[in-house]
Amino acid sequence: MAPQTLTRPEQEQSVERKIQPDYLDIIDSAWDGGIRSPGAKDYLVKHQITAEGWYVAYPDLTVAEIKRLQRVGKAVDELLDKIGG
Amino acid sequence: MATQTATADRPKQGLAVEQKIQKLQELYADAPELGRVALENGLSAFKQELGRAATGQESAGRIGARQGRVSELTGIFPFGKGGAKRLRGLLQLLEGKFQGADAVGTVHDMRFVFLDNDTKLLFATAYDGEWDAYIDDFATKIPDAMDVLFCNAAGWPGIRSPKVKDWIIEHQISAEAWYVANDLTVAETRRLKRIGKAVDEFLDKVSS
Repeated sequence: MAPQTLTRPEQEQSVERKIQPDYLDIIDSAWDGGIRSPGAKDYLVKHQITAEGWYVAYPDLTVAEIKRLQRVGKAVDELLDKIGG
Repeated sequence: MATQTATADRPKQGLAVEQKIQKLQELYADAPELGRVALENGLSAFKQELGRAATGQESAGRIGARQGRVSELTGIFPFGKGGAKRLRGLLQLLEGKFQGADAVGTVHDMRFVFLDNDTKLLFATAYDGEWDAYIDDFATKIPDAMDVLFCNAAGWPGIRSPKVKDWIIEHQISAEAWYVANDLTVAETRRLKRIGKAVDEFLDKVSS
């Protein structure tokens, strides 16, 4: 549920910080008090079920790191193209 | 268990942003006040969101949703007698290690959640490509692991059975919405990880 904003441009981050609370309330408007309520976390915990089993193919990479790696990969490809071209 | 999407209620593709907003407001007319207020507060942001080009959610094949190259499979399977106890024990012994899934090479993630006092299993996974190929991959690469895991579901016909795909479809539910942060396959992500490591090592050598 926590927004992933670590490597996004500042402008996008600021928009997301502004819209995220309302956005979550729109999607989950059945809950009492909303995302800003002090009871929001307890509400979520009450309805959350911990998985008995959980597998991730690349557990050591965050979303932000994968996006960074995508940029690194693109830069390497461009460099190799220039060297080879 | 597989449900038909309520396509009749689905907004037509290509509606103008203003039409989508109007539709959204109609949908939320009877929502709790909290949701209606949130919608009004977030209207300008929603206009931006709805105005963006569609990301292209489509079908993963016979069932399930796909976003780019990454698909979802969500199913609720009834446990057979003693199935929940066996599967819980197995998963605890595995301690999160799923070498079989690594071997398949197209699985992003998998979760096993026990529902309704251990009477049902929620199984959800993200994977690369088409549904049929995904099931075939499991059947050819890790058939025994599949049967050890899923024999705990009532009526599991066995991964080698010609009936297995129909059985899965009976219990699978297509996601109404499906979001993927990175449209990369598992193989591409692993390749990028190696490139990143090589670049870091190169830069370390250059700077030392």
